[in-house]
Amino acid sequence: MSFVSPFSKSSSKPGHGSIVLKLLPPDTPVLSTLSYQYPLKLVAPDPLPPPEHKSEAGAPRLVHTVFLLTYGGGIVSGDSINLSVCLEGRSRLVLLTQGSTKIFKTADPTVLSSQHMTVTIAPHAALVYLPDPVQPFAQTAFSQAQIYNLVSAQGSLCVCDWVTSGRSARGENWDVYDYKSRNEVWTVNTGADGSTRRRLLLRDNLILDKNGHTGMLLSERMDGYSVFGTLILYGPLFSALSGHFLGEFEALPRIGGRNWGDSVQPELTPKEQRRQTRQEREKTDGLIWSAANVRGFVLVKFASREVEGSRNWLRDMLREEGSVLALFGERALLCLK
Amino acid sequence: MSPNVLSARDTNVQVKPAASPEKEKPKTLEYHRKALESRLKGDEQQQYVSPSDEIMSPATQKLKAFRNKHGMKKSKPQTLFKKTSSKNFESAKGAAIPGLELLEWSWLHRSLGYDYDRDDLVAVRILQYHYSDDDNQINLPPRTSSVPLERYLVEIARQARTPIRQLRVFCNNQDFMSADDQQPLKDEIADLERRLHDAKARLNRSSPIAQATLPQHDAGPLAYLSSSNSANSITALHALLLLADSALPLGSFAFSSGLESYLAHHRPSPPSASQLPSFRTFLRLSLSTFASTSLPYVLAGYRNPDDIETLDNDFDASTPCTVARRASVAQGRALLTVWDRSFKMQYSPSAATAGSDDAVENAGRNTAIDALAAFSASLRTSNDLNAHLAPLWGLVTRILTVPLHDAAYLFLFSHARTVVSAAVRASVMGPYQAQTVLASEELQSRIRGLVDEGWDKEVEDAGQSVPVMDLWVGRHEKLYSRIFNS
Repeated sequence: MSFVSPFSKSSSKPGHGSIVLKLLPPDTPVLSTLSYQYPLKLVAPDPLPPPEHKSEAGAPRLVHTVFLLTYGGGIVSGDSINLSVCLEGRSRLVLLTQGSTKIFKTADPTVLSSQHMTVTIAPHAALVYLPDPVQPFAQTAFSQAQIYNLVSAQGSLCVCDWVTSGRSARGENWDVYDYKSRNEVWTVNTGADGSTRRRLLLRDNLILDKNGHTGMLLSERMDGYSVFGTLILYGPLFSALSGHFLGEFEALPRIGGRNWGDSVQPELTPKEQRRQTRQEREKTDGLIWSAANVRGFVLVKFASREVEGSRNWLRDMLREEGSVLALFGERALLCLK
Repeated sequence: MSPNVLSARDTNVQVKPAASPEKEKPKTLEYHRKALESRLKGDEQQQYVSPSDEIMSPATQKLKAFRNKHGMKKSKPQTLFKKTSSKNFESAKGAAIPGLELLEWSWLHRSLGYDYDRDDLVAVRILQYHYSDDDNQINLPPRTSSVPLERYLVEIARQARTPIRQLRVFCNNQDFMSADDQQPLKDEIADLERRLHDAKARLNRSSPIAQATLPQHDAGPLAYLSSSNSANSITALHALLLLADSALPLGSFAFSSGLESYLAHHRPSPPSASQLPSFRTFLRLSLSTFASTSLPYVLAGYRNPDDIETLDNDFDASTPCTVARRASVAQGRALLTVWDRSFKMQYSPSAATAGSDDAVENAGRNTAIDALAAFSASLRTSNDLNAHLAPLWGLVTRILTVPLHDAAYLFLFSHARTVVSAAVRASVMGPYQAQTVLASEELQSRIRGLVDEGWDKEVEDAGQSVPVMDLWVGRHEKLYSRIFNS
């Protein structure tokens, strides 16, 4: 066993952080590392047992939660945050934020602030990352990347990445200089000779900048929507949730279809009633969404006129199906309250 | 009843029904008796007038009105040209242009004879005026150089009531044109030559850029561009034309790239309002998206043929919805099939070695051909490969020796063409408006700008620049009625 000297020089760099979740046999996960450096701050409350941890053989007894915070509640121009997360064994982690990640105004459009997160997920481990939306203010340049490495293409993921148009109360409407968000999922296979091979499974790259020769402002490109989000679902733990999203997408009323009133309205089951009220709220919130099964992932894209529309919708969808709550507890949906 | 009620009547005489006398003034009984008596005697030769004589179907009515109007307009013989007014016409008549004797009377008669009516008679009268009986020729007024040939022919055709095309063919067969007439043609030739020269210059200019960004290809595969080998540039042009042809069986017509869904999400507020403005917005967004997501893969496929499998995988991973994926894979596979069945014979490695002296270029091309063959083979066995259009487009254009800049330009142009053609079929606009959009300077400069912008972009940085586009394309599946596949 390697020994780490307590007096060795700190290896941490500004903005760097690290989370390592290990499994203490037989089934107790522990946070073996939780380090961070200004301006990043990580807060880990006591782990809670999942509501239904007996239902599945080999499931860990505790689910850890870590809050990602930054001093000042946001990212100041020039900040660079670099977080690495490593989930081993059958561990489960919920990553959260406290309020939306604000991106503050930059004096120089070429100074890019960035947030980079690399997550390595062992087979059978699972991550839920349902943060508050990123809120880039006017005149900001920000780039973030979330790279998920799945060992042997196993493990489970439920991650959301969403962004808003800025401080709408101050009339900001996609007035950013530059916004980039990249989500990538890779599979990492270790060959017999110890060499590792990486293959890209999914890439979702959003680029909002002045390029494109559209001759339009960013806000015009957005077709009146102020929130865009992507939810990525993968792995056995979220297969029920994936099925739920695909099923609900299938059940959406057809666009341009008409109710001729010639079919008898059947008695609605409670589920169908909830679906109907949700669909009505989607209409009033101006929310549109789509779900697709891409290479074993379920990729959900959504957009709405207001932040609350998306937040409520996402919460309703996750609550309705219920497996996230059952496996990770109430805390997992904290940012969607 | 009198038998002469049904007697024959002269059909050429149009008789208006007389106003009913009863309406004017009530007649006495005496008057009626007289009228009846005279009718019974049958002494009065009277024409029967049916009240339905004047009744016409709306179509006939319109046609008649049109004919009358037309006839009225044409009824006055017009002079051929302002310059050759009827006064100086007689003097000009003698100086016939060589070649105009060709309008033989029998030919004219044939083309006029089918439908003699008043208008034609006017035309014939005009022609007869120019027609001298003695030598079976007609003399048309001399054409001064200030009158363009086209207008002259139109005028003749109009008066001779001959299709202009027929007349033109006829005239072209004879040596009709004088030296003056050839001047515009000469100008046109000069203009075309100048444009060809410009295009060649541009072709040569694009190669240093390609090489500057490609240090690893310095020695290389693109060297053929800088050598002003006209045979090569013709080959490249030919390949470009092949790929630009809308008859290239890629099946692009089946896809609207989200246009159909976009239109369904943006119903005009009065349903009859034009969708053209919103289509223009869509075309811009669609081109921008296409350039930011696909163009880097075209460039990479062209520059690094060996990476084709990785590129294909990464492109597949970056395509966020089933609908877009379906469209891209269908066209990519079709391109591969076209290559396999049609182009492969022409562009085989051995043929290239025989046809050209540039060994390095051939090495590069042969690598590309090998890569494509390997890809094509493993596509049949592997489940991981998909054959997306963008990287394969790069690879195939490389093999067909199309310059990279042109290949990228054509890639974006084809997309614009597909979307515009989908718009025509979705009744957003007519075919002429579509051509206006495609020919516009705006589109040209946009595509040029997008190619320049994406020139140095890595495939890792390819991404969605219009996030709502993903939603439109993804929600295409939820449309009630669909005429397109994407």
